[in-house]
Amino acid sequence: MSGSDRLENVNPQIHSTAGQRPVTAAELDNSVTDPIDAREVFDLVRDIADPEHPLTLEQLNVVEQELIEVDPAAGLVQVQFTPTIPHCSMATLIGLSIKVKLERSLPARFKIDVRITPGSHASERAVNKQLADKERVAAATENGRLLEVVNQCLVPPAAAGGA
Amino acid sequence: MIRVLDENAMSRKLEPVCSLSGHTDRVWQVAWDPAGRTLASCSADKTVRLWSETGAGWSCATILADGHERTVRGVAFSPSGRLLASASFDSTAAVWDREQAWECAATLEGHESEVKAVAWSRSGKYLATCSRDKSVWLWELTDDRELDFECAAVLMAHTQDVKRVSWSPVEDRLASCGYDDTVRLYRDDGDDWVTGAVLKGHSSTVWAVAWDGAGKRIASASDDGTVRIWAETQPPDQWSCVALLSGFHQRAVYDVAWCPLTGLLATACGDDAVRVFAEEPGAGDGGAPAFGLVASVPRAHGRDVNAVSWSPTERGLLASAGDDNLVKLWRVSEE
Repeated sequence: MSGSDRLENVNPQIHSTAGQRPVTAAELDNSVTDPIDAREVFDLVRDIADPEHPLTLEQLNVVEQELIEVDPAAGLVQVQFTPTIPHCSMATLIGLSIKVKLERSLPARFKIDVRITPGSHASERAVNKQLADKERVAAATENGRLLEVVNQCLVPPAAAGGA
Repeated sequence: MIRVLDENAMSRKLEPVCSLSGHTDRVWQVAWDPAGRTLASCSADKTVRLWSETGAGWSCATILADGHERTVRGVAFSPSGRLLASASFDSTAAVWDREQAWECAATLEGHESEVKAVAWSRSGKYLATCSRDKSVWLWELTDDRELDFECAAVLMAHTQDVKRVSWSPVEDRLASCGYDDTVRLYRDDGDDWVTGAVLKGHSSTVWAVAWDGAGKRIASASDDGTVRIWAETQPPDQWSCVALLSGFHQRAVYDVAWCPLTGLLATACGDDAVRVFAEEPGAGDGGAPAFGLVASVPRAHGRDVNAVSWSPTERGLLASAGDDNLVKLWRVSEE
């Protein structure tokens, strides 16, 4: 995807992963609607693969549950993601993967805002503006090649052969 | 600050007329023919649909497929109503001919990336297209019968994607807006098409521009959640912002439409609502206009509203398009 053979971040810091969330009795009850919460959104994005390393966004601390905000009544989901280095050229692609994953997984009524964690990237405003432009996002994901790269990042880790 | 407004306190009502389903993906834009009898809509499903009213109500009369290979982003009828232009992410604009049973009569190629909008000049002489490639192209209809178009000008004024183009209703003067947060104006100075004013003020992408019926003012809708009204304070190229509609929209404003019959302003917003504003008579000092919210439908569509368009012939009749794949018609009650 990037023209060079050298990884941008040769020695990424790998973080431990949170365990599986224990299932409660209420969640097993089909008559109770589970409100979408930050943990559920985190579960959707934690296993997205980084485009460069065989690691997940959770392992690289690119996504954290604490940086996800959900307002189920208003139908708003806000995800802040932290690129591993401030000049990461993959930032837009990573943001796009998060956005596409959530758009495919969450009910249509949710508005999904994906932004760079403030102060963590040199081109924060430009990347945020691109991710917020639904016309640009729509046109980009109609592009076969880019969509393929995004879909690669969204393949579940087991199917991808594990990290 | 978002003003919390009581819907019941609004002076008018926006009544639903009907909901038109058929598109299989988000609907990006709607446009009326000059007679107000046909409504065109275009979609990410790559088609254009034409809707008209029969005894049984509104229904889809024609589907224009096979004209574009990707999303159709914009549509516009020519002033005579005979031709329909469409803009597509496939980098082309197409022209369809009512007199040939809506066959695709011409395909305009040249843009380097997605074409976002099409607009016909009042005279019918020019078709403007705009694109992510930052340019606005003017196409001249050189042969009325053969439907030949020639590129008359390529205007490279914007520094980023151009989202919309809109011609003045009274003269061949063009406005464009886009990702560089500006609105730009163009006119023919006799020899060339030149860029006149650059309207700055929005803090994010400007999604749409619309002229008032007299061709003296412009409304712009932005990702920053506001609508700005601009007036030409000193012809030919001095414009300034004379009103700011702020605190009404909770998310990006994707479209604004200014009705030439009633003077009402309608907006399409990413918060799923359609809103109608009216100019308050005699408000403001020194003639500065003031606009008040007179009607709104909070959940006009199940998702983002992408477009609004006033009927050119029936007062208060408004069409809207949304990410819920629907086209809807509304009627604003009289005062």
